[in-house]
Amino acid sequence: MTRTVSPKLGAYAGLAALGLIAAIALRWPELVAVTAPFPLVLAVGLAFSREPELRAQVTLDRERVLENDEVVLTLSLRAAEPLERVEVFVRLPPALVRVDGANPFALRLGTTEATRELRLACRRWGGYGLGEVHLRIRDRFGLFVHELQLTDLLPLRVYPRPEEIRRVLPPLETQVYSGNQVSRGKGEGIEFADIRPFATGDRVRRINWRVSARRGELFVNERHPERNTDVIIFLDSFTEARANQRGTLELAVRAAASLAALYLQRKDRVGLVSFGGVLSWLLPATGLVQRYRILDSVIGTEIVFSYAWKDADVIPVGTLPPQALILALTPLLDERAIATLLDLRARGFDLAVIEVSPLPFAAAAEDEAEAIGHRLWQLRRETLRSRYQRLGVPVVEWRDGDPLAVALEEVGAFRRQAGRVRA
Amino acid sequence: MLVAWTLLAIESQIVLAIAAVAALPGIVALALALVSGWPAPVPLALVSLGASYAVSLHGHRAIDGRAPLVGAGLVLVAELAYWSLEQRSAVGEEAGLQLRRALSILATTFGSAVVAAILLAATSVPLGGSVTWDAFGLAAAAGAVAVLALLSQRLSR
Repeated sequence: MTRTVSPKLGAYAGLAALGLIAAIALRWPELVAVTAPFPLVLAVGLAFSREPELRAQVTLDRERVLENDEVVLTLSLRAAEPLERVEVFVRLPPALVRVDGANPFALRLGTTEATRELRLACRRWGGYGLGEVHLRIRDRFGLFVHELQLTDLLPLRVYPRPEEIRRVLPPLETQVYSGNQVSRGKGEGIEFADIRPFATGDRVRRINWRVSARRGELFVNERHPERNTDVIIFLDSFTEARANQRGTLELAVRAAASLAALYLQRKDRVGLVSFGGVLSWLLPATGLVQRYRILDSVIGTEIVFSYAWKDADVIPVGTLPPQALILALTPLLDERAIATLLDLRARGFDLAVIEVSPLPFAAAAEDEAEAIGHRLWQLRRETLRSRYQRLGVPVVEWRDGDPLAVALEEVGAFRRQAGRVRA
Repeated sequence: MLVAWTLLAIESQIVLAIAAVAALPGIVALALALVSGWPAPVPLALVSLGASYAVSLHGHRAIDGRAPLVGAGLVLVAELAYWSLEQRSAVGEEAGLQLRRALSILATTFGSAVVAAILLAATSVPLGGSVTWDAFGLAAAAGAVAVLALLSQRLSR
């Protein structure tokens, strides 16, 4: 706790000294009467002034919320002796907007515990630390100011609100474990695949009696088994386009969270690669724990400026299973991300690119030269898309405000047109 | 209002003019402090207003009975000025805080007036002037300052 002297103390002391000296020098008792109140206030204020003993504690009602949810921050204050005026300021991140409760506020604190609540709306995903509280205590006579700062931060995780998506983009290949994806292979399942002659060991329940009666020999039904798939969400965090407190990274993170939740619901294994100035990854896994791991990882994503060249070789082995679908969320602004995706396609990975369009965040052209430059930039981006599409990689432009489901449908349509969908 | 009240009692035009001139910087300094939020001019304003009152005492033969009220008035001006400067910070105050502060200022002002009146009454006791009493007065003033310094030192431990 720091203590500072208020300007009033120095002023009163100076006035007292000056007045008393003038009274003695001029021999005017009236000056004593005029001056006496100032040292009197000083003496009484100093006599009753104490080092305040104040305890403050901050609690949150929840640690994990979704975007636009509200949390309640409760501040508890307790003093050993009554404090005339306590000014409180809780420092809040810009993304947490105060909905109810005053901040800053001032109160008189008695010896009983006082609690004050702040209701905060979480406008943006991210990991935040709450609990930085600045306290300023003034004594009754305003002579001293004590200041105290609490720095014990409480973690608050605001997860992106998942978007409503009904149909996923199915990977081309499945894995060996049971899941919700109809496999190309044949085995035990629901979807009809083929009919073949009966072989020793086949189950009687699989016999297709109608065909067997027509052909005069036993035939069995074959079915496609349901298997899970591996999906890797590739998040480009080298750079972003940003305007009016929104940017492509925010959209990409929301999309990543939505896609991860959807694929994990289908019992697929989902992994994550955040490819940027800081490389982070999560090996593919399934279940609720993996969902929280992915969410905790994506909310920590931020643009870290770096000149270092990175390519697919820096991604650890095992992070990209051979037959996994790689869903890339990228604004296609950084050469490193563009080159890495092309490299992954060349290595035979099943790749789909959702281009988080930077066009809405680009400043409008103010003159003819800027308009031409803007048009050239758009043409260059179209060329880049064509380059991916010639390699069989679907690239779909997704803009802020458009449903993600539409982008996924376009990817699926491209793959059907390209003839790569399974029969 | 304080300045006007002290000036009204002055009979001599010359003294009135000098007292008014002495008070003017104080009014300006106080206005400057309140407008700018800078507390430094407040004591200067109080010195100026006190000097204006001191000028108004010129020619008085008897002890001026208004002195305690002038002293209380100066304390009131100072307290209100510093309160006003504190209010410049945008802090939402809970109910009752402002009322408590106002009552505290009034109590301080009233208490100041009472103590000042007692002191003035004590000084009106005829003891006769002498170097001894002057020295006693200086020692009392020094003692008062020493007490204040001791109190400040105790708080700094």
